[in-house]
Amino acid sequence: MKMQIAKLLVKEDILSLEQIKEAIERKYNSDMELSEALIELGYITEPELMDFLGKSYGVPVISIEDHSVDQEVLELIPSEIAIENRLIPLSITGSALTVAMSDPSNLILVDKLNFLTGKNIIPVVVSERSIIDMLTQYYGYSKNQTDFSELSLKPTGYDDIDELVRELEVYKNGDTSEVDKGSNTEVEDHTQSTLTQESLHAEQVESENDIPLVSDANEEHIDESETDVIHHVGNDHGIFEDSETQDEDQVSNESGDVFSQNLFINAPDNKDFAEVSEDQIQNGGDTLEETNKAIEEPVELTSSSQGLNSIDEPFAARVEPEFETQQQASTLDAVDTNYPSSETTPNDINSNGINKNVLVIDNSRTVQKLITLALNRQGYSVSAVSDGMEALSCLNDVKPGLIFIEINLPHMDGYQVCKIIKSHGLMKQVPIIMLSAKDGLVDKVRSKMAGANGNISKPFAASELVEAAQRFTSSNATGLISGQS
Amino acid sequence: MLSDKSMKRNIIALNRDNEETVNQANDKLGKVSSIVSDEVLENNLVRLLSEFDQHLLSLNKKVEKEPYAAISILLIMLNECAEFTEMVMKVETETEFLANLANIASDKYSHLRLLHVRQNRISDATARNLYKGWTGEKAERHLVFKEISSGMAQILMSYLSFFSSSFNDSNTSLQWDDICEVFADDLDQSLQSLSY
Repeated sequence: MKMQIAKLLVKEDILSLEQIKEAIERKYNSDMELSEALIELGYITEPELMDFLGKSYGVPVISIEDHSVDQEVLELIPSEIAIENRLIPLSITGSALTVAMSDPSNLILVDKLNFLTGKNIIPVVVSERSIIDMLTQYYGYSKNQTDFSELSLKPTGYDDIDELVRELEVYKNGDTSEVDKGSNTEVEDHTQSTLTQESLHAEQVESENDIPLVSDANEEHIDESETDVIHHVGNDHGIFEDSETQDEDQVSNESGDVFSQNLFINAPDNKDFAEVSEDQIQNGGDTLEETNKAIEEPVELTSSSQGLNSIDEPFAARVEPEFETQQQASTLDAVDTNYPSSETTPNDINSNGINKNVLVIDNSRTVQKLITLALNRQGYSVSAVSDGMEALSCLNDVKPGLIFIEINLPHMDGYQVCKIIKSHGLMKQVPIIMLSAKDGLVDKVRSKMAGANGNISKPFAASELVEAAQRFTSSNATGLISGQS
Repeated sequence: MLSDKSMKRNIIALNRDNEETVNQANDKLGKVSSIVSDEVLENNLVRLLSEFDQHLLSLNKKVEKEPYAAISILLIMLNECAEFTEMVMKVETETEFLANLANIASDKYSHLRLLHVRQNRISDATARNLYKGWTGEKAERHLVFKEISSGMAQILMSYLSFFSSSFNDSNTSLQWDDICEVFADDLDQSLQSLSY
C-alpha cells in the first residue's frame, strides 16, 4: 500500500495520523506492507480497506479464493514483475487482461502492464493476503524472495520514515505546497496527490465561503494549481508518448475505467487537462474517478483519430520533445536519470559527436556475435544481451547511441521492449532498429507503432547492419528519428 | 592454396584418416577462394550465418511435431553451403566438394549414404521414404536418423570451417572460427534433443 492511500485514509478520517504513524513504524520494523500493518494493529479490517480502495479508485473489489489461473494468462506477466508489484493476472477476455492487485493507485504500473502485455489492463482490487497466496501458488513466491528492485516497474518509494511522516503531517495540515516541494516520490502519486489536494482545497474553500471559486483570494492558488497539474501531467505525457501508437484495439477500448485511467496519464494535450482541472476545481472537486471521466471525452477523440492515422505517418514520426524532465526517468529505475550525462565518457561519443555505443538485444548467440563483428569493424562498441529485462537493466551502463532489438524474445517480445525504452524520457531519442525474420507489412507497422526507427529483416548482410548503424548514429540522426528512415 | 592451418582444421573437424580427399577438395577450392576479398566473404558469411540462425529457430520449433523436419532443415543448410561455394567463392559445380565431404563423413556415419549427392546438391528422397515407411522398431529408426543428422552436422561444420579458413587475414579467420563454434554449439544442442 502506498502513501497515496494512507493520505486518503487520513483525509477521509478513517484513520488518524497517529495510527498511520504507528503502522508505518510497524511496517518498517516487521518488513510488512502498510496495509498488513494497519490490519494487524486492528485499525481497519481487510474488507473495509478493500471496499475503501475500490470506491476511491473506481475499480471492482473481488474475491479470488479458489480462482484458478490459466498458464497462458500467467505467462503474460513475468514472475519477477508480478512478485515485485504484488499482482496476479487473472483472465483474458478479448484484448482485456484482468489483473488483481492490492494497490490500484499505481496508474503508471497499469500503463506499463499495458505495454508489457499488449493487453488492456482491467485492475481489480483483491486482498493482499489473497495476492500473496496466489503468488506463492503460481509464481513460487516466498517471503524471502530475491530483491527484484532493479527489474521493478514501480518507481522508488519512500525510504525515510521521518520524511514520510513529515509529509503526512504537512498533508493533514493542508499545506499542499510543502508537500509538493518536499516530496520525491513517484510521478503518479504526485499527480494524484496534487489532484486530490486541489479537489480538497476547492471543497474546503467552497464549503467555507459557500461561493464558487472565482474570488480574487483564491485565484492565485488556482493558477498555481493549474501550473502544478500541467507540469505533472506533462511529465506523464512524456513517459507515455506511445499512447498514440498503441494497437487499434486499444484505441477502441471496451474498458472505460482502464481506458480513462490510461488517458488520465496519457492526456496528449495539456491544455485539455488544464481546462478540466480548472473545471474540476470550479465544480467543487470530484473524486478521481469523476476527474478521469471528465477528461475522457476530449482525449478519447484525439487518441482515436491519432492512433489510427499514426499508421500512415512516416516511420517514427512520433517522437515528441515536450516535457523532457528529470522526473520522467523515475519510471525506469534502472536507467540513469542523467543520460546522456557528464558521466558519459569521451569514448562514448566520438569527436564528431556520434555515440557509437550499440546495444544488441537478441537471444541468439550467433546473431549477437555476427552483429558485434560487423559493427566492431566500423569502430562501434557493441554490447549484447539476450532478453528485454537484461537490456533494461544495462541501459544505464551501456548508454547506447543505437539499439537493435529482435522481435521474438523470451519473457517480453521486442515490441514491448521497444515501447518501454521509448517511453523513457531520456532514452526515447535513441534510435531503435527491430530485427526480425518477418518482413510483412503488419510487422513493420507493429514495429513502427512500438516506436522503432527502422527494421532489418533476417537474414541480413554485414553491409545492411553497417549502413543502418551509420545512418542512425550519424550527426544528422535527429532527422532520421523524425521520420526519414 | 589453403594454408596448413586451415587444412588441419578441416581434418580435425572431420575426425578421420583419409586426409587426402579433404586436401584435394580444399586445394581446388582454395585456389579460387584466394581471389575473394575478405570484405565480400565476410559480408556474405554474415548473411549465411544469420540465415542458418533462422533455420535453427525453425528446427527447434518444428521437430516436436515433425521430427523428420530436422533432416530437411539440415539438408537446406548444406545446399546453401554448396551454393555459397559456387556463388560467393566462385567454385565450379564440377568440383563436387559436397560429394567428397559426404563420402568422408559416411565412413563414420554410414547411414549418410542414404542421402544422394548430385551436381553438388544433396537430396534426401531415399531417407525421407525410409523414414515415412519405417516398419521396424522406433528405437532403431531413432538411431539411424540420429546418425544421419549428426553426419550432416559434421559436413556442415566442415563447410563452415573451410569458409572461416578462407580469409586472407588470420585474425579474421580466428574471429570466424569463434562464431562458427558458437553456432556449432547451438546446432549440437538442438540436435541432441531430437527424437526421431
